[in-house]
Amino acid sequence: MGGLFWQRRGICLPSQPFFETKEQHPYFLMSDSEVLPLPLQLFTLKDGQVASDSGQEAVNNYAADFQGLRHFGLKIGECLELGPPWCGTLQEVDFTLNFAYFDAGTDAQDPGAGALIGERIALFELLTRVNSMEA
Amino acid sequence: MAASITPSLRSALERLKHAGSVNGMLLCWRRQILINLLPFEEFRCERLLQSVHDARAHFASGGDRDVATFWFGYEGVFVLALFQGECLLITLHTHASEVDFLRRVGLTFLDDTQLLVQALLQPSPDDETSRDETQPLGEPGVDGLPPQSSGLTKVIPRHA
Repeated sequence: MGGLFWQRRGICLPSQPFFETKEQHPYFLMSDSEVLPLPLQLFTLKDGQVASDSGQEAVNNYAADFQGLRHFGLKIGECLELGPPWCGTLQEVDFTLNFAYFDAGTDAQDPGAGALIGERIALFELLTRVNSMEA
Repeated sequence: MAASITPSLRSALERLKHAGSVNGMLLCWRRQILINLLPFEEFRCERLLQSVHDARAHFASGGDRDVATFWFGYEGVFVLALFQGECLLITLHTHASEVDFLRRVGLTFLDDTQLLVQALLQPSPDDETSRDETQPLGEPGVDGLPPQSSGLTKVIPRHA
Protein backbone atom coordinates (compact mmCIF):
# COMPACT_ATOMS: atom_id res chain seq x y z
CA MET A 1 0.00 0.00 0.00
CA GLY A 2 1.64 3.23 -1.12
CA GLY A 3 2.42 6.28 0.99
CA LEU A 4 -0.04 8.41 -1.02
CA PHE A 5 -2.92 6.25 0.28
CA TRP A 6 -2.07 7.09 3.92
CA GLN A 7 -1.33 10.77 3.18
CA ARG A 8 -4.82 11.17 1.77
CA ARG A 9 -6.17 10.02 5.15
CA GLY A 10 -4.05 12.53 7.04
CA ILE A 11 -1.63 9.98 8.37
CA CYS A 12 1.98 11.05 8.41
CA LEU A 13 4.41 8.35 7.50
CA PRO A 14 8.13 8.31 8.15
CA SER A 15 10.43 8.55 5.20
CA GLN A 16 10.21 5.67 2.77
CA PRO A 17 13.54 3.92 3.67
CA PHE A 18 12.11 3.12 7.10
CA PHE A 19 9.87 0.54 5.52
CA GLU A 20 12.36 -0.87 3.11
CA THR A 21 13.32 -4.44 3.93
CA LYS A 22 16.99 -5.15 3.84
CA GLU A 23 18.42 -8.62 3.77
CA GLN A 24 20.01 -9.04 7.17
CA HIS A 25 21.95 -11.73 8.96
CA PRO A 26 19.54 -13.71 11.14
CA TYR A 27 21.83 -13.82 14.19
CA PHE A 28 23.33 -10.41 14.70
CA LEU A 29 21.41 -8.14 12.34
CA MET A 30 24.63 -7.28 10.57
CA SER A 31 24.84 -6.39 6.93
CA ASP A 32 26.20 -8.98 4.53
CA SER A 33 29.59 -7.31 4.37
CA GLU A 34 29.96 -7.42 8.18
CA VAL A 35 29.08 -11.11 8.65
CA LEU A 36 32.13 -13.20 9.42
CA PRO A 37 31.91 -16.65 7.87
CA LEU A 38 32.71 -19.64 10.06
CA PRO A 39 36.37 -20.56 9.56
CA LEU A 40 35.38 -24.04 8.46
CA GLN A 41 37.57 -26.30 6.44
CA LEU A 42 35.39 -28.45 4.23
CA PHE A 43 36.24 -31.87 2.81
CA THR A 44 34.55 -34.21 0.39
CA LEU A 45 34.55 -37.99 0.64
CA LYS A 46 34.30 -39.98 -2.56
CA ASP A 47 35.56 -43.39 -3.68
CA GLY A 48 37.36 -43.79 -0.37
CA GLN A 49 39.38 -40.61 -0.84
CA VAL A 50 39.35 -37.27 0.95
CA ALA A 51 39.61 -34.07 -1.07
CA SER A 52 39.67 -30.40 -0.12
CA ASP A 53 40.80 -26.96 -1.20
CA SER A 54 42.55 -26.51 2.14
CA GLY A 55 45.82 -28.13 1.10
CA GLN A 56 47.46 -31.51 1.36
CA GLU A 57 48.46 -31.18 5.02
CA ALA A 58 44.91 -30.36 6.06
CA VAL A 59 43.64 -33.31 4.02
CA ASN A 60 46.13 -35.67 5.68
CA ASN A 61 45.22 -34.47 9.17
CA TYR A 62 41.50 -34.69 8.46
CA ALA A 63 41.82 -38.14 6.88
CA ALA A 64 43.64 -39.50 9.96
CA ASP A 65 40.95 -38.22 12.32
CA PHE A 66 38.15 -39.27 9.99
CA GLN A 67 39.44 -42.84 9.78
CA GLY A 68 39.77 -43.09 13.55
CA LEU A 69 36.34 -41.59 14.14
CA ARG A 70 34.66 -43.84 11.60
CA HIS A 71 36.44 -46.91 12.98
CA PHE A 72 35.17 -46.28 16.50
CA GLY A 73 31.76 -45.35 15.17
CA LEU A 74 31.62 -48.79 13.58
CA LYS A 75 32.74 -50.44 16.83
CA ILE A 76 30.09 -48.62 18.87
CA GLY A 77 27.48 -49.54 16.27
CA GLU A 78 28.52 -53.19 16.52
CA CYS A 79 28.18 -53.14 20.31
CA LEU A 80 24.53 -52.14 20.10
CA GLU A 81 23.78 -53.73 16.70
CA LEU A 82 23.03 -50.33 15.18
CA GLY A 83 24.97 -50.85 11.98
CA PRO A 84 27.53 -48.44 10.54
CA PRO A 85 27.33 -44.73 11.41
CA TRP A 86 26.15 -42.29 8.74
CA CYS A 87 27.65 -39.36 10.64
CA GLY A 88 30.16 -38.80 13.39
CA THR A 89 31.56 -35.87 15.34
CA LEU A 90 34.35 -35.42 17.84
CA GLN A 91 34.81 -32.32 19.90
CA GLU A 92 37.61 -30.99 22.05
CA VAL A 93 37.78 -27.70 23.96
CA ASP A 94 38.90 -25.79 20.87
CA PHE A 95 38.36 -28.20 18.01
CA THR A 96 35.42 -29.86 16.28
CA LEU A 97 35.51 -32.35 13.42
CA ASN A 98 32.76 -34.30 11.73
CA PHE A 99 31.78 -36.36 8.72
CA ALA A 100 28.47 -37.35 7.18
CA TYR A 101 27.57 -39.67 4.36
CA PHE A 102 24.91 -38.65 1.93
CA ASP A 103 21.87 -40.76 1.14
CA ALA A 104 23.75 -43.16 -1.16
CA GLY A 105 25.08 -45.28 1.73
CA THR A 106 27.59 -45.53 4.56
CA ASP A 107 30.27 -47.62 2.89
CA ALA A 108 33.81 -46.26 2.72
CA GLN A 109 33.39 -45.77 -1.04
CA ASP A 110 30.14 -43.86 -0.75
CA PRO A 111 29.98 -40.09 -1.18
CA GLY A 112 29.94 -37.82 1.81
CA ALA A 113 31.45 -34.71 3.30
CA GLY A 114 33.18 -33.49 6.40
CA ALA A 115 34.41 -30.39 8.14
CA LEU A 116 36.74 -29.25 10.86
CA ILE A 117 36.97 -26.02 12.75
CA GLY A 118 39.35 -24.76 15.42
CA GLU A 119 36.69 -23.99 17.99
CA ARG A 120 33.82 -25.60 19.83
CA ILE A 121 30.59 -25.03 17.95
CA ALA A 122 27.08 -26.43 18.05
CA LEU A 123 27.10 -30.03 16.86
CA PHE A 124 23.80 -29.81 15.03
CA GLU A 125 24.83 -26.66 13.20
CA LEU A 126 27.97 -28.35 11.92
CA LEU A 127 26.04 -31.41 10.79
CA THR A 128 23.54 -29.21 8.96
CA ARG A 129 26.36 -27.37 7.25
CA VAL A 130 28.02 -30.58 6.07
CA ASN A 131 24.73 -32.09 4.94
CA SER A 132 24.04 -29.01 2.83
CA MET A 133 27.15 -29.79 0.78
CA GLU A 134 25.23 -32.59 -0.92
CA ALA A 135 23.12 -30.10 -2.81
CA MET B 1 31.37 -46.62 45.79
CA ALA B 2 28.65 -47.04 43.22
CA ALA B 3 26.25 -48.26 45.89
CA SER B 4 26.89 -45.12 47.92
CA ILE B 5 26.28 -42.47 45.31
CA THR B 6 23.83 -44.00 42.85
CA PRO B 7 20.63 -43.53 44.90
CA SER B 8 20.98 -39.75 44.76
CA LEU B 9 21.93 -39.78 41.08
CA ARG B 10 19.43 -42.29 39.82
CA SER B 11 16.36 -40.14 40.25
CA ALA B 12 18.07 -37.20 38.53
CA LEU B 13 19.19 -39.42 35.67
CA GLU B 14 15.73 -40.91 35.28
CA ARG B 15 14.26 -37.43 35.00
CA LEU B 16 16.90 -36.60 32.43
CA LYS B 17 15.94 -39.70 30.50
CA HIS B 18 12.49 -38.20 29.97
CA ALA B 19 13.92 -35.04 28.41
CA GLY B 20 13.49 -34.67 24.67
CA SER B 21 13.72 -37.79 22.54
CA VAL B 22 16.05 -39.73 24.83
CA ASN B 23 15.93 -43.52 24.48
CA GLY B 24 18.43 -44.49 27.15
CA MET B 25 21.38 -43.36 29.25
CA LEU B 26 24.48 -44.89 30.75
CA LEU B 27 26.43 -43.21 33.55
CA CYS B 28 29.97 -44.40 34.19
CA TRP B 29 32.90 -43.57 36.43
CA ARG B 30 36.26 -44.47 34.94
CA ARG B 31 35.57 -47.84 33.32
CA GLN B 32 32.76 -48.84 35.68
CA ILE B 33 29.05 -48.58 35.06
CA LEU B 34 27.30 -46.61 37.81
CA ILE B 35 23.76 -46.49 36.41
CA ASN B 36 22.49 -48.30 33.34
CA LEU B 37 19.25 -47.04 31.79
CA LEU B 38 19.94 -48.37 28.29
CA PRO B 39 17.49 -50.75 26.63
CA PHE B 40 20.24 -53.30 25.95
CA GLU B 41 21.75 -56.32 27.66
CA GLU B 42 24.41 -55.68 30.29
CA PHE B 43 27.26 -57.14 28.23
CA ARG B 44 26.45 -54.82 25.30
CA CYS B 45 26.56 -51.79 27.60
CA GLU B 46 29.87 -52.98 29.00
CA ARG B 47 31.30 -53.26 25.48
CA LEU B 48 29.90 -49.86 24.59
CA LEU B 49 31.62 -48.32 27.61
CA GLN B 50 34.95 -49.91 26.71
CA SER B 51 34.66 -48.85 23.04
CA VAL B 52 34.00 -45.21 23.94
CA HIS B 53 36.95 -45.18 26.31
CA ASP B 54 39.11 -46.81 23.63
CA ALA B 55 38.07 -44.09 21.18
CA ARG B 56 39.11 -41.38 23.60
CA ALA B 57 42.39 -43.14 24.34
CA HIS B 58 43.07 -43.49 20.60
CA PHE B 59 42.87 -39.74 20.01
CA ALA B 60 44.80 -38.96 23.21
CA SER B 61 47.62 -41.31 22.32
CA GLY B 62 49.19 -39.02 19.73
CA GLY B 63 49.80 -36.12 22.12
CA ASP B 64 47.79 -33.90 24.41
CA ARG B 65 44.42 -34.22 22.70
CA ASP B 66 41.45 -34.53 25.00
CA VAL B 67 38.25 -35.43 23.18
CA ALA B 68 35.35 -34.53 25.44
CA THR B 69 32.45 -35.38 23.13
CA PHE B 70 31.65 -38.05 20.58
CA TRP B 71 28.41 -38.00 18.64
CA PHE B 72 27.46 -40.67 16.10
CA GLY B 73 24.37 -41.00 13.95
CA TYR B 74 22.95 -44.42 13.05
CA GLU B 75 19.82 -45.53 11.31
CA GLY B 76 17.10 -44.08 13.54
CA VAL B 77 19.20 -43.26 16.60
CA PHE B 78 22.10 -41.08 17.72
CA VAL B 79 24.72 -41.89 20.35
CA LEU B 80 26.15 -38.98 22.33
CA ALA B 81 29.11 -39.63 24.66
CA LEU B 82 30.18 -36.89 27.08
CA PHE B 83 33.29 -36.98 29.23
CA GLN B 84 33.66 -34.73 32.26
CA GLY B 85 36.43 -35.40 34.75
CA GLU B 86 36.44 -39.15 35.38
CA CYS B 87 32.78 -39.52 34.54
CA LEU B 88 31.15 -40.47 31.27
CA LEU B 89 27.54 -40.11 30.21
CA ILE B 90 26.27 -41.91 27.12
CA THR B 91 22.89 -40.85 25.76
CA LEU B 92 20.84 -42.47 23.02
CA HIS B 93 18.40 -40.08 21.37
CA THR B 94 16.27 -39.88 18.25
CA HIS B 95 16.22 -36.25 17.10
CA ALA B 96 19.45 -34.75 15.85
CA SER B 97 18.30 -31.23 16.60
CA GLU B 98 18.27 -31.95 20.34
CA VAL B 99 21.93 -32.83 20.58
CA ASP B 100 23.19 -29.46 21.78
CA PHE B 101 20.50 -29.24 24.44
CA LEU B 102 21.31 -32.77 25.61
CA ARG B 103 25.01 -31.99 25.64
CA ARG B 104 24.53 -28.95 27.86
CA VAL B 105 22.19 -30.77 30.24
CA GLY B 106 24.47 -33.80 30.34
CA LEU B 107 27.52 -31.73 31.22
CA THR B 108 25.68 -30.08 34.10
CA PHE B 109 24.62 -33.50 35.35
CA LEU B 110 28.19 -34.77 35.09
CA ASP B 111 29.43 -31.78 37.10
CA ASP B 112 27.18 -32.85 39.96
CA THR B 113 28.23 -36.47 39.58
CA GLN B 114 31.88 -35.52 39.74
CA LEU B 115 31.27 -33.48 42.89
CA LEU B 116 29.59 -36.45 44.57
CA VAL B 117 32.41 -38.77 43.56
CA GLN B 118 35.04 -36.33 44.83
CA ALA B 119 33.23 -35.85 48.13
CA LEU B 120 33.10 -39.60 48.60
CA LEU B 121 36.70 -40.27 47.61
CA GLN B 122 38.23 -37.30 49.39
CA PRO B 123 36.11 -36.16 52.31
CA SER B 124 36.96 -32.63 53.35
CA PRO B 125 39.17 -32.41 56.52
CA ASP B 126 36.77 -29.82 57.90
CA ASP B 127 34.01 -32.40 57.88
CA GLU B 128 36.12 -34.87 59.87
CA THR B 129 37.10 -32.23 62.43
CA SER B 130 33.62 -30.92 62.94
CA ARG B 131 32.30 -34.46 63.27
CA ASP B 132 34.78 -35.16 66.08
CA GLU B 133 34.21 -31.88 67.85
CA THR B 134 30.45 -31.94 67.76
CA GLN B 135 29.03 -32.65 71.18
CA PRO B 136 25.48 -33.45 72.08
CA LEU B 137 23.74 -30.82 74.15
CA GLY B 138 23.33 -31.70 77.79
CA GLU B 139 20.13 -31.67 79.75
CA PRO B 140 18.57 -28.21 79.99
CA GLY B 141 19.01 -26.35 83.24
CA VAL B 142 16.32 -25.16 85.56
CA ASP B 143 15.61 -22.15 83.35
CA GLY B 144 15.05 -24.40 80.33
CA LEU B 145 18.27 -23.30 78.60
CA PRO B 146 21.19 -25.58 77.70
CA PRO B 147 24.06 -25.63 80.19
CA GLN B 148 26.56 -22.85 79.41
CA SER B 149 29.64 -23.94 81.25
CA SER B 150 30.48 -27.35 79.78
CA GLY B 151 29.90 -27.10 76.00
CA LEU B 152 31.45 -25.01 73.29
CA THR B 153 28.14 -23.40 72.47
CA LYS B 154 27.73 -20.00 74.12
CA VAL B 155 24.14 -19.08 74.68
CA ILE B 156 23.32 -15.50 75.53
CA PRO B 157 20.00 -15.38 77.35
CA ARG B 158 17.56 -12.98 75.81
CA HIS B 159 16.65 -11.42 79.17
CA ALA B 160 19.80 -11.42 81.27
